[in-house]
Amino acid sequence: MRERDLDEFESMFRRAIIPTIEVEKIGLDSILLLADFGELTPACGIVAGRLAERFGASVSTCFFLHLEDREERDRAQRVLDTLPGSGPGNGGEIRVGDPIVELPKLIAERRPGAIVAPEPFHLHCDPNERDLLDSLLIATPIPTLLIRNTEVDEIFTNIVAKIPGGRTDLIEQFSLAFALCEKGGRVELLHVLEQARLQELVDLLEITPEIDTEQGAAGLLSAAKSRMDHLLKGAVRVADEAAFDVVADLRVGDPFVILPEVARDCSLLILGSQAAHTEFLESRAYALMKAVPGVHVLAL
Amino acid sequence: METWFFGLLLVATLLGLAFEVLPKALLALVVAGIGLFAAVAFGVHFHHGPGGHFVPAPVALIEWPTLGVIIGSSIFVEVAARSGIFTWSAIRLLKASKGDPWRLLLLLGGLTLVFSAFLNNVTAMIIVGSLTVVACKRLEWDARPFLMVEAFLTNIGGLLTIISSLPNIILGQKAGITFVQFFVIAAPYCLITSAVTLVMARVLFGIRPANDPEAARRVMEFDEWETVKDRGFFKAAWWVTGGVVLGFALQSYLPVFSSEELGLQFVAFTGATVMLLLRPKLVDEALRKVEWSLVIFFVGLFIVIGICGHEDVGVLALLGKSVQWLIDNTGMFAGAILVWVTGILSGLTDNVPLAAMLAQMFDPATTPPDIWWAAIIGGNLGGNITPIGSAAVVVGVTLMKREGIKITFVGFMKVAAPFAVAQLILGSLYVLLLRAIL
Repeated sequence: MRERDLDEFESMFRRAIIPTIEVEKIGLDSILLLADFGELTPACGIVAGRLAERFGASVSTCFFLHLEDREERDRAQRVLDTLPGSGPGNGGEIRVGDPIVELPKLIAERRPGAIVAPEPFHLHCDPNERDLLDSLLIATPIPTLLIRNTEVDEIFTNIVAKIPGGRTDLIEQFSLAFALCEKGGRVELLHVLEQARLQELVDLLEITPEIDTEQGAAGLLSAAKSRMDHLLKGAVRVADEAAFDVVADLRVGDPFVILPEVARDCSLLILGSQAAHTEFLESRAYALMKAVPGVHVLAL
Repeated sequence: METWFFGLLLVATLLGLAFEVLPKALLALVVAGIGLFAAVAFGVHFHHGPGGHFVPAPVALIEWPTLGVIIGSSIFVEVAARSGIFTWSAIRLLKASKGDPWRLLLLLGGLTLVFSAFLNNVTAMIIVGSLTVVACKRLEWDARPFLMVEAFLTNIGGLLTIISSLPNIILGQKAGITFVQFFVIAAPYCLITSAVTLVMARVLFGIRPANDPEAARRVMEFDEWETVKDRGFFKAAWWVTGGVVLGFALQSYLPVFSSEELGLQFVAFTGATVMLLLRPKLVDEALRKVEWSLVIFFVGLFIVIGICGHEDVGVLALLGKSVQWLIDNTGMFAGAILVWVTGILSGLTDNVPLAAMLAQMFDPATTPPDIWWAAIIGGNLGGNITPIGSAAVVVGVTLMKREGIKITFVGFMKVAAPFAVAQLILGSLYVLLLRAIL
């Protein structure tokens, strides 16, 4: 009796099972649109308007002024008047103060479902503070869409979602991509498996320790790769019934090299923020965003 | 004196195989060694090769074409399996069932028949049985009815072509039956018996059609392409497999191929060689996977049976007389009775020595076709009577045990008996029909 053959075939058939990822329904009630004096703010307004229309959400706007200045306030109001949710008669809020302090307060007050903001954010403050604000936006637990160029007509047609880790991240990101992607569009699910962070992924994927002892690091890498591959393919299977293409892309290497290469021409990059509990400037998502200049980013 | 000595040696061999006193290959080597030594000591003279050249006894007694088919097919199947064509097909059929248990039984049953017709029965059962276990676990179904039916169908499918099982190769080659002749005669019986087996399974195991969306969703989670590593090799393997099947079918009609010098073993080795040329890296692995213990078992067995069949020894001639008595005294029912005798004997012991003995006892020139077919049908179906009746059933039982399904020797026989009896009754009727038309 060839017990080993039985083991081999059973394991092959088990590996052939690809559980379908269940897409979560994304609801969005309110959008917070952050405005500045830069050329990206009108584009932010367009995107916020489209999102509001798609999800039936309301838009509220806010303009930060570092210092109280009458002339600046009038100028800011003129900007707000051009934006959805704050057109003539709707107002829109102008806040005076340090955005680093004021933004968390604003988020706590309004509890928006998503934030739309230009990146970089043109505030009259020093460059370090601007970076801090960007980091804060990325690290906030609220999905933040950073508009980084003026071309927003096809923002939801070619999406790259960089999946940072296990099943939960994948479901979250894929559900968002699923909700955003337009008919005939394309979603690329990218996972970059890093040797240096292998143990982190192994823990996330709950890979059994037997593989570790039997085959060492190579076994762990292969198991993690295979499990991640299965997860991505599970999402692709869901998309068989969607009106857009979904591509799974599993790479091994340095995300700071791979991501710019993959996301260079995409219309929207979805990044999982892993910095919610760390110092803002250490945010990997923020650093990754900076590695792909000019591409719109949705930071989760 | 010689007759009694070798008669006892033959009985000891069969009992040794039935009670598994030693591993089969070792037992065959031991008795072959004793037999050869005793034969030479008794002054038995063996055959000489072409042109009167001396050929050592072991070389003269071994049925090389049979070994050729076994080794060639084994290598071919091993490499073809690596391409994923068998696992891919199995998953495609699983998905085609849409999670309906009755459809799944029909589809996997049909696949078992086809696989066991062209692969060896054990490989067929390993592939289909493994998928059944994994699928049933995913569907939260009891795998037992499916595994039982697949094991039965493996032995029925083993009747479909001359290369499907070892008794077919041994008896069919000796009777001079070609691949196509074998298929044309065996196929109707296989289809009828399979249909009866499936209907019985539906009634006895209570497998009913069901439209369960959740089950349908779960079978669709299987991705057949996950078992295919190289699509180029996969496509090529389909072509080569098709070529090999055609080669077996047309061998006796094609010039050169039809020569007795080449035979079916040449087709098997050609298929194996082409497969290995597609994947040269697999040479060592494929050769290691050949069941050399089975080959050694055959070598020993052919020597023992060959000695017993020698005219100076006369053991098989004596047994042949009893078969002749059966034929003479039971008239048209001889074949029908032989189906039951060979069936029960091969259920209790290995069907290969039985087939080898019968092949030596029957004279191709004088034995009626229905007697050959009775031995072939009984030799294959006997495997369904007991949990150790055939290697494929042993695989099925092992899979059940691995899944924690308790099954005893008697428990298996209670479940299997209605199936085995129905199959043997159909076999007897079919042999009677063959007697009338052949």
